[in-house]
Amino acid sequence: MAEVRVNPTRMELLRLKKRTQLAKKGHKLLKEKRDGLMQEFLKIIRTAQELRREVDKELAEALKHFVLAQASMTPQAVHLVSYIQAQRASLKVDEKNVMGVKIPDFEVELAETGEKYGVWETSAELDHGMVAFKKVLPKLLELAAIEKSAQMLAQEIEVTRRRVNALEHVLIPQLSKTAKFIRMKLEEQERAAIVTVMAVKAAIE
Amino acid sequence: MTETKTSPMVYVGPVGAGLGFRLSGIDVAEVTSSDEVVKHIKKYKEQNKYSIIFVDEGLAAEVLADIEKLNAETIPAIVLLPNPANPQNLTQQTMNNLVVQAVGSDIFNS
Repeated sequence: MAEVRVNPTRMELLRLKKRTQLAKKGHKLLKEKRDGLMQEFLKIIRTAQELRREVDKELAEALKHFVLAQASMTPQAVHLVSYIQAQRASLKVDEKNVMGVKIPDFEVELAETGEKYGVWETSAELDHGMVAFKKVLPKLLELAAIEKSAQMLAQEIEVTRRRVNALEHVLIPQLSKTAKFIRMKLEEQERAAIVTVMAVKAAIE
Repeated sequence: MTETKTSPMVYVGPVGAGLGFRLSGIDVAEVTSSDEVVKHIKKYKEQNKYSIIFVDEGLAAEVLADIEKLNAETIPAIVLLPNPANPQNLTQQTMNNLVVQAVGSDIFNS
């Protein structure tokens, strides 16, 4: 028995055929989309993993400098320094569209504010920390963008894969099964009609 | 359909860890517990002020599921940062989870 309850008519059969054709076309397109996304994702994830390792290492190093600096300075000096903004970071945010997936694109603009901390009260570690931080910041933003891209692509791939599977394993088999059911029913009707005609003919003769 | 806007960044981390970020012109929110982290992120998301939210991984470890949920949209991007005092290796792990989500298995580490 077909899973979809339909009227076994020729009209319905034609409609089903059209739907199957559409489903197959959609399936093919989605499969291509999935493969394309996967290619893009693998490319991105490799870069992301490398960048992540680099950033993790460099950032940990920079943060360590700051911790050491804070330890070697007086609490008052730390408090004072924390009010200083040596540079102002402003972020330009753009959105790119890759195969229907929105991907962020960050661009940082660093502007020196002219505010400087004193030399006497601060430790040399603070300077080391600042230098290291300045170096790692652009990478950090690159990482933010690339990680987000990888995440959005992963989400999209998951959704697309589900759609492909749903079409391949559920909708298309169901449609063809129903079409087969209608065809059988129509053939059966035809045979029944012929038999009736034959019976009537026999009765007349 | 590109839309360019300028917006600041923020770092959510434990007390005393944000000095470097503050000096570099990144806003700093000091928190003491993981729940506070989630509260802060939710607030920032509602305000729609920040495009990138950096979160300390030591604090994020306990509320990772919540953070991932909050990180579902393109903007803001929530980025976990390592904490030298309390290394969790979470950052690498989240990356591997992405591979599993997209490919179906961890093809780089198996």
